[in-house]
Amino acid sequence: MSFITDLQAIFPPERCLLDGAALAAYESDGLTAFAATPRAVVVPVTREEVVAAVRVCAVWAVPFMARGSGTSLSGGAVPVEDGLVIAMNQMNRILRLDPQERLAVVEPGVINLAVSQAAAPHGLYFAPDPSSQQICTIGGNVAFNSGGAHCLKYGMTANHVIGATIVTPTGEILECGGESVESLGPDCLGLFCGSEGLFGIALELTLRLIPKAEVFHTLLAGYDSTDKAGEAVSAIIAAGILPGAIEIMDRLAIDAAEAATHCGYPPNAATVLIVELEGPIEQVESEKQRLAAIIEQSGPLESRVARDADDRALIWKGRKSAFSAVGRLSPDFIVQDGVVPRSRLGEALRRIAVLAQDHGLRCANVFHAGDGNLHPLILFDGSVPGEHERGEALAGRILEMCIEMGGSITGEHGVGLEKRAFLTPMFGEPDVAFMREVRRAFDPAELANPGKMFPSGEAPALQSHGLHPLEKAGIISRE
Amino acid sequence: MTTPESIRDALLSAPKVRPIGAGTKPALSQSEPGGSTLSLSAYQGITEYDPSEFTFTARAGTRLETIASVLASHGQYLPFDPPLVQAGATLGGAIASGLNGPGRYRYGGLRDFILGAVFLTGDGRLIRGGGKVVKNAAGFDFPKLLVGSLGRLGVILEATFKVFPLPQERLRARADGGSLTGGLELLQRLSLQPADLECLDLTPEGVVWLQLAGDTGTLAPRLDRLGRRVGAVFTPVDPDTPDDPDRLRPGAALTVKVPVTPARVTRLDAALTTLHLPRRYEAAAQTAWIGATAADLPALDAQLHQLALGGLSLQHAPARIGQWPSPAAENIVRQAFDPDGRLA
Repeated sequence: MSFITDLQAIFPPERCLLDGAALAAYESDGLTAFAATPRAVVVPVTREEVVAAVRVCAVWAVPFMARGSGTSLSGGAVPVEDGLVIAMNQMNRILRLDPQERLAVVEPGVINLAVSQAAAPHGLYFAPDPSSQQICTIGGNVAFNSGGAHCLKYGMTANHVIGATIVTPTGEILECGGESVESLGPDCLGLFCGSEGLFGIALELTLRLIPKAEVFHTLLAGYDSTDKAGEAVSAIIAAGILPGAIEIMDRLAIDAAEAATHCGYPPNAATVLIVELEGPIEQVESEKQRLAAIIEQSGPLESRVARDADDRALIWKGRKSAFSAVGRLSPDFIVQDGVVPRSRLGEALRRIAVLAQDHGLRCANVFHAGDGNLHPLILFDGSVPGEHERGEALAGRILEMCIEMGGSITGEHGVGLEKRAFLTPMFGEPDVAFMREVRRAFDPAELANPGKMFPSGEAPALQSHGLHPLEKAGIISRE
Repeated sequence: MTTPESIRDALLSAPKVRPIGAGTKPALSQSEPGGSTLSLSAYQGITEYDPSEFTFTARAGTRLETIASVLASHGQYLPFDPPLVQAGATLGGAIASGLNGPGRYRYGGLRDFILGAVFLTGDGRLIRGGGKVVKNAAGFDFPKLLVGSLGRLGVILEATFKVFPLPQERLRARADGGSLTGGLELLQRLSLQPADLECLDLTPEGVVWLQLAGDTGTLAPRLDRLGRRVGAVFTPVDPDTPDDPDRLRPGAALTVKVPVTPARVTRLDAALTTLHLPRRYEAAAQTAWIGATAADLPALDAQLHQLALGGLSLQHAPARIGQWPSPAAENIVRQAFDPDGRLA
């Protein structure tokens, strides 16, 4: 008897991968900086198989990591070296879609967008929309509490999950939440969301569906300075308007997006602002007049409104492809994901520019301005000695700045492997020690996705950054 | 007790402690036999509020009424619409009880708006979870865990919330579905519309109450169009009429919360008819609010058990009636949150 023979007793050979070539496909995730080789990969098709695999890991004390499509941007889905990967992609059934109850019960390997597609005939959708939604799975969204462009108004993944069946690392089955949006007792489901796989694996998830907005109004404005765009955002907020999305991109990001998608952004602008209103016709009609007045006052170089659905899609295509597109301007790049108070966005961008200059590197910026969620993109060439290290150092300085400004080290990508060193600076030793205690309460042997989130443990080998193969193929993009 | 240190000392001075706020939900504010209560109501004050950030931070004992009035003076509000605001409910109590009002329908409940919390564990450690910005995915989401914890996992000292801009105008209206079944059907049709309703309630007689919120001058046309889309006649309601739904707001006449879904309402309502209890179904029938005296509770408890539903009784003990969710997950986190069982 061995760990492997125990797995083979559960999984047929084609779903129990052991040889090097098959394992290589699972070495990395969307953050290609890290790689590790697992001992085996199993591909369960039933919840019983997932539970059995977890229990085998518990018996043999082998660490495991569940993964979906591996689009994590924080290294959250990088295997544990010599551990087990439980690939959830074939557990991809929508078990129930109930428009009357406005919910969907899904297996965790269901693709995010598939839920909205299935709900669309009923006028409903699943609100969380990370840029990788065409390929990322619900299980991964839940584990990392994924965001997207609509978080200010609609919240993150945790706000749209109402029930979960979970297997803990000791093999215990837990039921959290249910079919109602209301619940009784402590919100253990809320705790599970965003726990980065450290409390176990979701076997089944109940999702809340909401009606799709009646109309959208998408405005694009170009400015000669980022400060002006930031002031426009403040004025929109101060006017009591709650847009579905508010996004800002700087010149370098605009250039890249334009080259990649011909999205028609203003050619001379230092910054573009995208504001999208959504809601009932009458409300949007009223808000769009208020918005037009605010934008006019804010002194844009130019502004325009999406003419139709295609034009709206093109504006969003530029935004959503920005990061992958910037990657084409540079052999390597690092995406960051910090948060600062919204009213200090302008200050944050000025400081990032100074830091980038100090490190001798270029930095493009794309951000969810309504949330204060920055995505600085640090460009470097890994083949130039020292550039990779300077890039990492700059990324770290930016996160330290976010902490100092009272923000967060991650708005939506999670801590994963990438930001482990910054969890303690953000929270302090006692808080992190307590988080670790809670983790051990679920997982005394620390077998579930060890090495993620917490600042200790062996880091897998750091390799060069660059576009993910799926990004190169244009299949996925980043927030 | 006006400092974290003094609260901690008080917590550690007794083997069994129930942290409480203003006591507006008496069944939740009682100590265990042989235990004591720990009042947070003197630990109050809004410590941070920047309207342009859509966030505030306040101490647990701060009255919701104070918070609501400060927010309103800057054109903002608590979108989860907590009950018992005028009665003096505190922020800490709102979190620990996890209660929402009818307005939770539009944007979500308290759990969807809490961003950060500072709390004492059962063994007196001061822990900070979450953050103070509107978006944050770092570390475990302890603030959400504390929502609905009834003071049994930690002593909440301070919390940070996201808030939203107040609508310029509100419009309340009712439509008669003729019967519970007719009302439920209308309610479900409405809940599938892209109508951005603020409230969507149902009475056992089948009357659907809804509330629209938005810019001045937009609401009457919206209501008109909505009525035509779902084939219903809506009558705008003067908020001061005697059958104003606020008179049946949770907490006052309605004292037991039962999470449900539309599909579960019919059977529950039949049981409540037998018991002659007043009730109302809120947030598109995701919450049943039931009026029950102390004498009603045993029979209600038995009925809820039969229906595999659970309830939280605010006014009369026992607070937890019917079939509650398994405590398995709570027991796991308790090992870290309250290792001595002081708050259990």
